[in-house]
Parts: sequence; structure tokens; C-alpha cells
Amino acid sequence: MNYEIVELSQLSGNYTTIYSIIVNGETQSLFENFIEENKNKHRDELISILDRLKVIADETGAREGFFKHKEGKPGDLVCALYDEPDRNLRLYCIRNGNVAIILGGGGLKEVTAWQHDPKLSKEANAMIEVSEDIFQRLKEGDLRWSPDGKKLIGNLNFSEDEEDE
Amino acid sequence: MKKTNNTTAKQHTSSLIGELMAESSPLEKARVKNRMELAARIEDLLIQKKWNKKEFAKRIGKHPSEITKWLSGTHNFTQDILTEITLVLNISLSDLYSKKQVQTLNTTTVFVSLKQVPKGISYATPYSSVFASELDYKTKSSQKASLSLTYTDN
Repeated sequence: MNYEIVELSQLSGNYTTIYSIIVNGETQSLFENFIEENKNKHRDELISILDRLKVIADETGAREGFFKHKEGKPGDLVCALYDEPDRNLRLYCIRNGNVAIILGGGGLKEVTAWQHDPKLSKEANAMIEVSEDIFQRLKEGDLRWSPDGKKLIGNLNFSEDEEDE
Repeated sequence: MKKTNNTTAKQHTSSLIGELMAESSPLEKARVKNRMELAARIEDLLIQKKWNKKEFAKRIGKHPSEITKWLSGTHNFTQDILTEITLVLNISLSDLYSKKQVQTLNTTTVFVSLKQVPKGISYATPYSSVFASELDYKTKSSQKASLSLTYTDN
């Protein structure tokens, strides 16, 4: 997957920086694709998700309890925003402590595990891949977190060709 | 020597995000904020008391999954439940709404190189100890391992 990590300036705040992923030079991020896909059927739920992300960014930080963990592989920090009661719109992300989150895509969760739903599998696997790539770059020193953990610094463009070299 | 790249992420604005954010009513925004801040406040109080979710669940007589919901920031607490929480935490209701603590929590990834050492030397951490022979068995040879550390800035 070729992609770039971008900061969502309308959502980022003093406590938490909010990022998303733009794949293959497209104009919209994975998070915007998620909004686009669900805006007609689940508009209220999307508005609520945006309200919650704004509170996380400006007021509370990305508290552990606000997320469902262990959505990816052990230790990869892939998680999902906690669903509101009686609602099942699942949004996958990568959480770096309370101070940064990278939003991916998601969808309606009607199965017990995302592995049983092709759409959710695609979205969760994309975030698992992003997490692995970031981890690799952190390890190699091409990417680092700022001292306060809020900002990713370094090469934020990921291309499959580069990884193969 | 590797050149330091100090590039930060591009700022991305979205008309789609802006459009939906503008549709949220002040009442709904306030509801969401209050629920999340209350959950964060309860989490801070549990951290202060060094109670995990299981411990708190036991003391308040609930299943741990109920506590998970409370801390999710989506729960609409009843007055009765808030009263139960204040009793168990030994605080007043107004304490529950007092100024929040600023909690900054970062995750740092540390890369560690493991190497073979003579058998019989033990590795010890505050939580466990593993004999070199076991470690050699698990890692087979010199390998790189990594772990994530979570810490709080005060």
C-alpha cells in the first residue's frame, strides 16, 4: 500500500493530535472515506463520533477506556473507538498513548469478530499494516515521536517500492 | 550517518468533516463532553487509588464489563449509580465534577538486543525472572526484540 500520514487539522487539539492516511495520492483520507460511506445511513452516529474525537483532542486526551483494544495483532496499538450504546459503527485507529491517534476506516459491525466481515477485515488489516510500517520506521530511525508524543516526525510517505528495496 | 528528517505531517482539511461538525447541536456537544469528562474523572480517581477495573468492580459489586462501559465515555450515568460510585470512592458528588487532572500518557517503543549468555545467569525484572537457558530457548539465538513502555508525565 502506498500512502501518506496527514494531520486532520479540524480535529487535532491541545491534548491529542489526530492523523489519518491518504492512500495512493487520493484527495480523501481513509477517515473521510469512512464518513462518505456512512453519511447517508448513519449521519447522527458520525456526528457523535466527530464530537467525541473533538473532546478527546481538546479536553480529555485519548483515554484508554475510550477505545476497544486488541483489535489488531499483539502489541501493535490497533484499536477501535468504543461504540455508543445500541450503535455498531466501528472505526479503526492506532493509538499512541493519550496523545496521538491515527484514524483509519471502518464500517458497520454486525459480526462478533472483524475477521468474519470482508469490509471490516480490509479496514482493520490496513491499520495493522500501517502500524507495522510505522514500527519499522521508528526502529530504523526514519520516523520518531516528538518528545511529548503528540507529533510524528520524519518520513511520513510510505511506498511499497521503498519497502522492497 | 543518517540525516535527521524533521518533517511533520501535512495539514489536511476536509469539507466533509467540516460539514458534519457544523451539524452537531450545542446540546449534543455538551452531552458528549460531559459524559467523556465524567468517565475521565472516574478513571483519574481509580488511578489515584491504584485500583484497576477488576478491583473497582469488586468493590462496587458490578461486573468488570460494566466498568468498561462506564469508562468508555459513552455512558449516561443515573444519579443512583453516581451516588454508589462516590460512596465506594469515598468522595462527594461535587468532587466527581471538580476540576479534572491533566493526564498525559505517552507510549515509547524501546528496541532491545538479546544475546546468548552462559547458562545459569538469571535475568530479573521487578515482575519476573527468567533463566538464561529459558531465554535462549525462546529466542534461539541473538535476535532483536522490542517492547513498549507506557509512562505518565507529571
